[in-house]
Amino acid sequence: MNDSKLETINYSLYYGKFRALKEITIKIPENKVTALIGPSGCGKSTFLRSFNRMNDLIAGVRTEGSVLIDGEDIFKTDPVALRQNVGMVFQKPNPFPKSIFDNVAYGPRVTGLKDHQKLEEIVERSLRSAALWDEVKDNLGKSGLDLSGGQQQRLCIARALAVEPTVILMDEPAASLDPIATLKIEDLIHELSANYTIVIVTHNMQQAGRVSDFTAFFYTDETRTGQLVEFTETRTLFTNPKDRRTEDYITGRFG
Amino acid sequence: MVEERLTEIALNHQAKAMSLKKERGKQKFWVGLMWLFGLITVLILILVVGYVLVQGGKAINWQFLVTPPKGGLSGEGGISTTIGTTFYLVGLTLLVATPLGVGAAVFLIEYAGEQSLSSKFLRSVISVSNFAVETLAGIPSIIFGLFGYALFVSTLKFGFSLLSASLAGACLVLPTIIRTTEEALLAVPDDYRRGSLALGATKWQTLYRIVLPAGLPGIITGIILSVGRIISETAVFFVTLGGSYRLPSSIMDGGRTLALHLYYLAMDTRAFDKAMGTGAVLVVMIILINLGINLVSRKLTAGVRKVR
Repeated sequence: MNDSKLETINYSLYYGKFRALKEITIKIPENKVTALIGPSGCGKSTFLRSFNRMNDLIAGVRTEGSVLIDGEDIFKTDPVALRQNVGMVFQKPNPFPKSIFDNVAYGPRVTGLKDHQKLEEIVERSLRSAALWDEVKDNLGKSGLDLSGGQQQRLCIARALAVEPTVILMDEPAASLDPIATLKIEDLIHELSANYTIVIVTHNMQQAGRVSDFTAFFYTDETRTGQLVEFTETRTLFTNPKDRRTEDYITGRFG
Repeated sequence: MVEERLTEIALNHQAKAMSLKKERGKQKFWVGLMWLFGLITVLILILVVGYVLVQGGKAINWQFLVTPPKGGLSGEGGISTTIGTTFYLVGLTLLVATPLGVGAAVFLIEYAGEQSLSSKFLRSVISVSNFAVETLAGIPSIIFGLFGYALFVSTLKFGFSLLSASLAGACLVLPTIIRTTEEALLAVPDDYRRGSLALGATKWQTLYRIVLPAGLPGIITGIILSVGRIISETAVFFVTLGGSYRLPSSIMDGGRTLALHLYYLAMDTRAFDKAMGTGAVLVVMIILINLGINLVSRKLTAGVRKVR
């Protein structure tokens, strides 16, 4: 775990006076899948959003400690540039009300690319990487909203890939999908992990077991403040948890 | 014991059936009443529009549409120049009101809300402007006319002119444009904004590439509503546009719109048939505009509605 891509050091986050995350220190390895698991309200999604500074959009958010990407403090970088490097896939598929092509080309266009041939290349490559190309290649002009839920989510992944990020954050990407669509997303995550650092929030422990190389267990008590309890290789965490709370959670005693 | 219980249940059933019958009867009555009201409304509408169209139709012919009014007390002549003036005024007014109104709405919804959390000053600006927009929408239009007369016609010395009238008209339709644009923007799901920002788009790019296109149907609806408002307005233009029946040749010239012409014909001349004819043209224009609104918003919302 020397090659950490993302890192937080004593990172705390407050919504106004309420402390949502408490002193989290973690090193997330490069080109691996890291799952964030834990009971509802433990702050794992908030933590995920810290890496692309989407929390900046929420009023009254304040942070302490540091969040690093490639060793650099993300709060000293430009959030727009950061988000081009750190892509995000949301819980609910959110394609734009545009054609499939325009959805995928959105990111590159925003960064100033106008050359249509290059855009076509990027769109095809991204859709192929997102395992959607074969299903939509004849219908690139169709609205992204006309796709099924699972296809929409893969479209959103393709859209994120088109910006050529190095990190992809996924906030329960399969939560609103049926089992088959979920399986496709999981396969995709597995494939993408060769080239991308993926951090995924999931409620589903089986999913964490299936897709991730490392797992971080977040927990919260009556104070509702989220904290990191345990972080290690997924196999170790599920077979030999060190902390009592992790064991209780993964054996289904609560959560 | 068992029998008693059975009778009780049977009675209960009976009571329920009775009550249901009664409720059915009530429902029939009220639904019937609603139908009646609906029917009356439609009849009134048909009566008014039908009367104007039938009466006015007699006066309308090609000659009427392409001849300028003669002026004077006779009320003779056609309405060609007033149609032209109406279009000029609509165009000019929208040219002023649309950027202002859409810009104000974008500021209020997309920017002010988020920044206001940290600034007390901005918070009060927002509440004052929201209040102002609501109040403006309820003010009688002659007040806008008076204001336009005082400021544009006399103080700024624009005189009775297209310029004065379009500026006063812009004040009149601004609340409509702001309100409809605000509603259109609020209806755009936040998922789009987040999705765009997460891809490394700036706030401005998100706004003009995603949010504004998604809100366009609502914005256009507001603009078309304003067109109708301007076409049918008389009070404001009575005191800002003057009453010349000639076609204005510059924005400093006065003129009269269809609605104004109708007003003059009805009040100052004996040409009641011509007034009716003008009214019929006006009604047809308004109907066409409303059909246009429906068509446009249906076409443009086809893609957006699905997600919500």
